[in-house]
Amino acid sequence: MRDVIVVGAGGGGPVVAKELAARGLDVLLLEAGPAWQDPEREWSHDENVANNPATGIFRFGPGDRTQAPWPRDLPQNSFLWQTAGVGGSTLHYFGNSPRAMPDAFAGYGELIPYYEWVEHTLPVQTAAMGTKEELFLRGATSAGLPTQTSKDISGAACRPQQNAILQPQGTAGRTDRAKQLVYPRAKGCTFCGHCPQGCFLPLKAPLNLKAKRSTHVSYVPMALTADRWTHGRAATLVPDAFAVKVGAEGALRSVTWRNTRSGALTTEEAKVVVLAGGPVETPRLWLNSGLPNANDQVGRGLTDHYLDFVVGRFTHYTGSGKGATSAARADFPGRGCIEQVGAAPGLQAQGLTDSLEPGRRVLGARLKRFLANLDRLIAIAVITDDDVQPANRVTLSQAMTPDANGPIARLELRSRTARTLANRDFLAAQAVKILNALGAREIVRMNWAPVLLHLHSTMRMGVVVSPDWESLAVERVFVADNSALPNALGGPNPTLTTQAFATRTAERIFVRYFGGDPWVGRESPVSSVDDSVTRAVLAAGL
Amino acid sequence: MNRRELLRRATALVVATRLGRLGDAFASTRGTLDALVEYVLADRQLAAATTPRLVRTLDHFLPGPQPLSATAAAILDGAAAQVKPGATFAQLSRAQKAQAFAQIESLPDEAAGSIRFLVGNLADLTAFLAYSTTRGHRLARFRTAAHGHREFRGYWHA
Repeated sequence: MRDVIVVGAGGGGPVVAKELAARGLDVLLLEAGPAWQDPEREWSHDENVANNPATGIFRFGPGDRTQAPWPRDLPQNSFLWQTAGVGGSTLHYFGNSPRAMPDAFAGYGELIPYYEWVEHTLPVQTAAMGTKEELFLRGATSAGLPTQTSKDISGAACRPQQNAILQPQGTAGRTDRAKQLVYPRAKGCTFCGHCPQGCFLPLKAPLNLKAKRSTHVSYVPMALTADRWTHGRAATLVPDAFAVKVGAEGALRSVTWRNTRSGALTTEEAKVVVLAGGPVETPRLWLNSGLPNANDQVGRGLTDHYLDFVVGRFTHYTGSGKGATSAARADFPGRGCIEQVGAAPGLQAQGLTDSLEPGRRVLGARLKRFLANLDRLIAIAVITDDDVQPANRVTLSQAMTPDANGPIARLELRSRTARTLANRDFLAAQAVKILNALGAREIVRMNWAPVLLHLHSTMRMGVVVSPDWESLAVERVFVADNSALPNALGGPNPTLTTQAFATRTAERIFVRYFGGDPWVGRESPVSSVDDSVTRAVLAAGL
Repeated sequence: MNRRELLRRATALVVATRLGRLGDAFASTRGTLDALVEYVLADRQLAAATTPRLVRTLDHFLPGPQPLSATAAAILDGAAAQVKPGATFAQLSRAQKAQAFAQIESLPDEAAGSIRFLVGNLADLTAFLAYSTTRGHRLARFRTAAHGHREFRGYWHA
């Protein structure tokens, strides 16, 4: 029997796995998607190769890409962007790591030490400036916004992003010559402009020293080498393992998973199970396992930041296709956030052609005009402080046939409050104001159909799970992904907050079920880029 | 009922007047998707590189005896017939094509959720696939393979 089984190696699961492996527990980490042996060879800057929803390396589907992706039932115009594979959605995320709005939930102050622990571990650093973010911040300043200088948001303000990205050192950011951009001459972000395609740079850097701090290069390597960089016990990672059932008999917990390549079923028992498959798959697994759902709240209350996109076209250079995808933002407490986004042409084109209103899509000659020079655009994402609505939910599809992993998830978006809609309009207007201040020649607001990147609150804290993220219905079963967030955090990107909560959850598991002592605030965290971790990663052949 | 059956039934709602000619509609898949791609991109060379990618993506997204690309084409043609009786999507003007999309977008959720999902993603999927090609990158003046850029400008000071 294991001490702990963690289901899902995305943004949250590896945090629990690393923290508990470092305490010497026997941790099994399951991941439905593949493990990556050599990202420098396996991954690609090519957007279609990386992110094609049907065939891409980072699609949501089995590691054998000759098979179809896993289906979801989406009964509305919407685009759900998930990733399977070790690292999960942190493989394609932008690394943006702001803290939540301080009034988003009770107990923000108590979470700060856990934020600090994660910020040191990843690490989170203040983003360097390229042209596009400098312009964004100049525009925001011209529009009257002060600069936020603390990590805790204190009012409407702009700032460089706090990013889980190692900032440039050496030749990084200072040359475009490939031969000069090899570790250790280049360290940190090389300004390649390919964050959503996975970060495998600088070339030849040890796995834990790649620029963007997906869990694949930070928490997972630390979990797998916890016997080397500290006096812990190495966690076991099993990829291609789709969890299909969680068992709860007496004090015994178990997980059954299906090998996505062979179809074989395996069951292991544990003292504690942690669900971290994300806000779609975690409620699906819960419901498919027949676990209690007495108040019918499992899956309800989905929030998604109701993202929108505002793009300005300029006659001068903006550097939109270079550097970290997003390195500058503005926060508006009570409303949400906006952030500059500089994607490669495929994603930029996708963003310009998506809309709830067909007439608003940028098509044909106009699309060509916008994309005639990627480096003359500034795009701004709107990240709305949206309200929890019970009708927005994940449930099991009645319309579609179960797949090999059981009944599939259905994601319904049926309701937006007047406040959510007003917030979105307000934020889009702020984005337009900034682009106008910069002298944009042409501006479009897309009114996106739901682009489901930031999903949260389908297993809500205080409703489905406790403040420690333990199930209120089944003890020894915890959640450690965005689904346990109580709401949309007031707008900030959710990964860091989930990782802070996951750290606290790991601590509570250790104290409550393994008789240990808490460590956050009492010990110093070890950074994932510490020399001791690098030595461990190299010695382990990762 | 699987997704394909759901889509087939939902399609029937849209192409009700053409059900008897569904086979003909599937036969015209390539022409309809060519028209869609041209409508989105307005670039013949880019479109030529994109339609095969679009077909591959759709059909791999949901493999089966009746390709998803054919279903998508049938839905577009069905909507086209609503806009201009007897016409296929390829035969519509640009303004009429926009009307066809609007018609699908305005279908009631319960009746056509899967149609709204599929068609709602067609234009942006097409654009993503197109501007991920070499031709797309050339149009956007973007260097795909670059491992880095000389773009670091220091740190922000208010």
